[in-house]
Parts: sequence; structure tokens; C-alpha cells
Amino acid sequence: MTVDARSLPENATIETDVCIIGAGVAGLTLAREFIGSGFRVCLLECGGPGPDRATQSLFWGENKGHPYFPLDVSHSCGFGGTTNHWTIRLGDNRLGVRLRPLDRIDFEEREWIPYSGWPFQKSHLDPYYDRAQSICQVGSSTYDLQDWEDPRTTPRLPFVSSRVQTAIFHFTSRDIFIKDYREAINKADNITTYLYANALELETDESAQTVTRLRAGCLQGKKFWVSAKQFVLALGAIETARLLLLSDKSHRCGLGNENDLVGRFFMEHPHIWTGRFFSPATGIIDATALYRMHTANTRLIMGKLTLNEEVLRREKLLNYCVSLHEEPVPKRRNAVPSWGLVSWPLLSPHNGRSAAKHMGSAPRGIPPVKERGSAALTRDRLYNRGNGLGRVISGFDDAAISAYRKTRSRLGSVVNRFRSSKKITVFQLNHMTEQSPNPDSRVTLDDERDMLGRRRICLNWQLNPLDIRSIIRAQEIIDEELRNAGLGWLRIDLKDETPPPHLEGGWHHMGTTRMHRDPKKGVVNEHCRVHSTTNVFIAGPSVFPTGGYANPVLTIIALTARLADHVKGLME
Amino acid sequence: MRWGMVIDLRKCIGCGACALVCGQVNKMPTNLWRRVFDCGISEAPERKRTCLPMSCMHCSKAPCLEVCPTAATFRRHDGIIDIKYKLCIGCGYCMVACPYMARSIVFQNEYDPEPDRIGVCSKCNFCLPRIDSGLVKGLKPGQDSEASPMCVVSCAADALCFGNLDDPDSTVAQLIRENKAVSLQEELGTDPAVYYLVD
Repeated sequence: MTVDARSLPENATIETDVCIIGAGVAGLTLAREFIGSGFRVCLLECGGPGPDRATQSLFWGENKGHPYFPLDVSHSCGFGGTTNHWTIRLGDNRLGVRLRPLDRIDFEEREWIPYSGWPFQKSHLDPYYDRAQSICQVGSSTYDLQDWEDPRTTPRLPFVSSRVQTAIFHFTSRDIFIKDYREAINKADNITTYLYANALELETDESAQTVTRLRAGCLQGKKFWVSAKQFVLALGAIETARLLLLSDKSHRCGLGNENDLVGRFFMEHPHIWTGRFFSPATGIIDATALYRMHTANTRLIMGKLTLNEEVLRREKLLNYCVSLHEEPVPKRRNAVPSWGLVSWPLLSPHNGRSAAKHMGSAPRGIPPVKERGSAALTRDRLYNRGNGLGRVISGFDDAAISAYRKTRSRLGSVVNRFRSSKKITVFQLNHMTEQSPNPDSRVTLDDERDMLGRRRICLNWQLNPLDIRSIIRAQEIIDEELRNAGLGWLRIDLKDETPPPHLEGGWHHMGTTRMHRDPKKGVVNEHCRVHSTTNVFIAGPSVFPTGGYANPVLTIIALTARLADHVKGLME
Repeated sequence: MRWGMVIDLRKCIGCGACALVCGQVNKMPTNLWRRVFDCGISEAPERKRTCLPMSCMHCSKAPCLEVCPTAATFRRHDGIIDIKYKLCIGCGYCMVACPYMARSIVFQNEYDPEPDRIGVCSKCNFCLPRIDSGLVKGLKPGQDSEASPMCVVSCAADALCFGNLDDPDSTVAQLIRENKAVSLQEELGTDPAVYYLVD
């Protein structure tokens, strides 16, 4: 059942067993796990059925660190949360997201990466990854390269050594969460979804360890309460930290923030387009087919280049992957039209107008032809065509373009056959890498308040020299391997460890309430419970101690499925 | 009959899904036929961001149509401005004439479009194939998603609406009538078929 929270009576109290705050990928996964469980579940969503501008504005905050996306744009309100922002084109008019579990090394404590290490190994999470795959409707798909490469049509790049490897990514559609699971949750008798319900503050009992109720409010001013046995925050890494920091009645520094950890260790997956892969190898386009989105065994997949685990250990690098994108160099057949495009206004003697008028001073929107009734033009196609023919004849470049295009389109396949054997193919490199945990990279509360009276967020995204050094060194290793295999070479553009301004994130907010067994080193324990509380859990990427290079969605879902089991166990 | 679109700027959050889907369904690069501009954010405490989705306005007095030297650009009976790719010589004159920067030439395309679209001018056509095939099936563009432009179907914020501007009972006509509706660069007299609802 779905309820518009704006229709609730003022100061109403909702009694429930489990209160899930946030209906994004984590919140929906968790709610879905409780369907038919017998427990009453209250799912709060700050937005409506879809994203809306007013609620979106509540996320706005200042960026004080490395340049980052506007915070009101980088995640989304509305049912489905940031799944509304999954924008990889999957074909068949579907949009979606990449899937891949973290690697085994991502869970380890690596001495060259301060603050690294999860409270458990990957093998512990593997069964939950299987469940996550099922939730994402990609079945039991593996990530083993040999299951997906076809030696005939999509082989891996033939490197001489194993230093550079290929990682497989799967994809899932956002419609699964926005449509299918919404319907399933709406139909569930034991789950009530409240739309336009913004979490304002968590209130604790006298012991300051058990949260008794949540104060919530609507943008129109109405306030209400949710009283529950268990609370799960699934608001994303920025808003989850914000809610804990805002809940400062019993703990002046915020709930769970006794050790000043809430909001710290904000991480992203640094994304950067830098460097080029030049390949004179014949047929390199076909040889890199595995590294483009394609269908294999009825699944949509793509490969990316990564570094061997042993290389990461030996070189003391962060985990890393890079995708290859053929550079769209204009083909020769387009050279004449492009030349014509640029030079047309200079050469054409239309209506006696000067080149200067065409290029600069002619006002936009006014067609540079003599005024005529457009209706007459529409009716008299013959006149228009005749007039057009006159224009073509009067412009030599038009005639040349037209003739060239007609001829070229007929001879295109023959010419291409000659050209393809000699050209150098250029690939752009899109690097996506792990960010090392950094306590100074953090989310804090600002003095400015939003329309609900809550203090706004301020993000200070900070990168370490290791983050950039890893990207540079990884490129050097790939360059060596490409040369050894006779495939080509890389041009490495990054020169020093200063993060370039065009390095950006991927809307992958992680790490602001990190997981650690020790309350002095983490906000939540290995069960995702906030250390200093008895009944507040966090679902989502904010609990990641490190983020690997893989898109976080699959790990979020796996952790949430695990959390669902834990909370159900507690309730039973 | 005149097909048109109403874009509610009070709802649009600038997610860009419409531009992505547009590129996908038309096999064009993203942000070419349809783009979403970030127009900035309002003052505190509101901090509302305004975004402006733009594509071809299908003007009734279309400058692009008048300057086309080969009559490749033409207007259909339902008001949609379309292009006959075989007639287009790729001169780019219409691109200069269009006040909305809605037209572009693609020289190479990673999405492997129909070859007739390479090197010639192209632009939004309100997902014409969907409209036409939907009408054949007896569907109503704007009401039945199968017969509506993909940008309208994909909008999670429900900010886009499509329909017959000449039908006073259509949703688009009602939205225009009952809200503050503006079109872009009205002073040019192009009479666009795309309207924006503003605060």
C-alpha cells in the first residue's frame, strides 16, 4: 500500500516493526525481502512516485573540495531513488547500470592502503552476491572471462604475460526496481510506503542507545512520527551521514558520531578520460569487440582491462580498470561535407549577402533569405524546388558536395577496403579506479538550512596522491604489455600526482559510515548496525570501508540481502 | 491536427534520461537531437535548479524549412518538420538558420545508424515512426505510450506531455490553457509546437 504522507494528520504516529528510510536500490531491496514476512514494514520516501524538483532541491549542498557534481543532481529522490539516474543505454529503449562484485583483494587489509580492509572476506559475501544477481535478474551469471569470450568473435586481447587481465561487467535494467519491485511492494500487505516523507531526526530513549522514533516531515509543513523496533537508513552515503549528524539531541555531535567518524572517508570511483591507445594492428577493432557492450550467451556484457592481483600487491597500487573507446576520427568521406559546412557561408553568394553577415552579424533565427510567406512556400513545392536548384547551381561547393557524396556512397565499400589495411586506430581510455580511504574527504553540516529547516550538507571530496599514482602506473604497465604483444602503445597524459580538474566521480557515493568491528574505526559493525545504538542499521554504500573499482550496485544489494537476514533474525 | 509537446519546467529535474533515450531510439549520439541545459539554481533557502530540455520545436514558420536549398526539409500534414535524407546535401544552412540549435550533422556514429543519416542534417522528429505505427494500430499518440515519443515515455518526473495542439480537449491544450505556458524566442515569430510551463 502506498500513502501520501501529506494526507496524514498533524503529529500522527505510525507504529511499525521495521522502518526503512529511503526507497532507493537498498531500501527497495530490503523492503522486498520482508514481503510476506509477517512483520509490519514502513518504507519512507522523501519524494513522490517519481523525482520532483522541490524535493530534489533539499539535497543541494556546497562542494568545497575537488570539483564534484552538484549534490542536488548527483542523486535522486522519488520512488526508486538513484535508480532513476541509471543511464547506461542497454538497447530496446532500456536504461540501466553495470554490475560486478568487488574483487577478493578489495576486502583485504592492504598495508599500502591506510584504513583498508573489510570485517569479512569476499567468500562470506559470495552467497549474497548470488542473491543479488537474482534480484537484478541476471541469474547465475559468472564473471569468469572464459565463460564470456568467444575465441572466434570476441577474444581477449592477446597479452604475452598475465599482468593485464580482462574483467567482465554485466548490466541490469532500472525498470526492475522502478516498475517491477514497486508493484510487488505496493501489493504486499505488510508493507506501507509513505511518499513525500522526509526524515528529520532520530530520537533515542534515555539510555541514548535505542532509537524510539523518527521525526518526519513533508515539504508543506506537516510533521509526523514513526515508532519502530528497528530502523534502517537507506538514504545513500551523503544523506545517511546527514541524518545521523542532524540527530544531535542525545549526542551533541550526532548519533553514532562519538568518535568523529560519521561523514568521514567519503569515497567515489575516480573517473577520468585521459591518455590514448594507438594501434597499428590490423583488425584491432574486431580484436577489441569484447571490450564494447555486446550480447554473449543472451546476456549483455562488456570487458574492461584490469591489473593482476599480484601486480597490485607488488606495485602497491589501488584496484583499477579501464575501458577502451574508439576515437571518432572523421572519416575521409566526410571531409568534404565538413569543409563545406565551415566554408559555406563564406562561399555562397546567396541573395548578395556578405560573408560577414552570414558568419557574425546576421541575427539568429532570421533566415538569411528574402522574406516570403512561408505558407506560400509550403504550398508551392515546385517553386521551392526550382529556387533550391538555382541555389545549388549558384554555389559551387554544394554541387561538389552533392556529387562527391553520391559517388562516395556508391564506392564507399571499395575505398574502405583499401584504407583499412593502413590506418592507425586510436582508442580513448576511460579509467575507473579505486579511491583510497581518506578521513579528510568528508561530509559535514553547513550553516545554511533547507526548506524543512534542516542544515544543508557540505562535501569536501579529497583525493590522495596514491589515487593518481595508481592510474599513472597502471597505464605504464598496460603500455608495456601492449608493446610486448605488438598491439600498439599508450600515450600517457597524466604527469604528476595532482588530481586534474576533469577527474570526476561516477555518482558512486561511498564510505561515510564505514564498517569496522572496532567502534573507534568504524560507524557500523560487521552487521551494519550503528555501533553506539541497539536498533539502527545502515543499508547502502556508506558502509563500504573500501570501494574497489566495480560499480557499487551489486555489493549494495548483496549487503542489503545479508542485512535483511540479520534483521529478520533479530525480530524473530 | 498539429502534434506538439508541453514541457513542465516546474517538474523537470534535469536527469537527462529523455536525451539518453532519444539517442538510443534514434541511433544517434546522446545530447544531439535532444539536450538538457542546466540553467542554474535559485537563491537560498529554496535552491531549486532549473533545467531546460530542448529539441526541434517543429515551428509552424520554420526558418530551417525556408532556407533548405533542396527542399529536403519539409512539413508534414500534422505539423511535424521532417527531413528527406536522400535530398539533403549536408550544407548546414538550416543549422545556421535554426534559432534553437536543434539541428546537427553526424559524420560518424558509434551507434551505427542508418547510413542515410551520416553526413546529412538530422534532428528530432517527435519519434515519427512510433507515432505513425501507433496510429496504424489505432493508438493515440500522447495517451498510449507505444505511440508517443520516447522522451515522453521515459520521463520519470512526468514533466513531458505530447498531444494534438489543435484539439482543445487534449491534455497538451489544457496544460497550455490552464498554466503559464511560454515558447522559446517568441519574438522571432516561429510559432513553435513545443511549450514550456513555468512558475
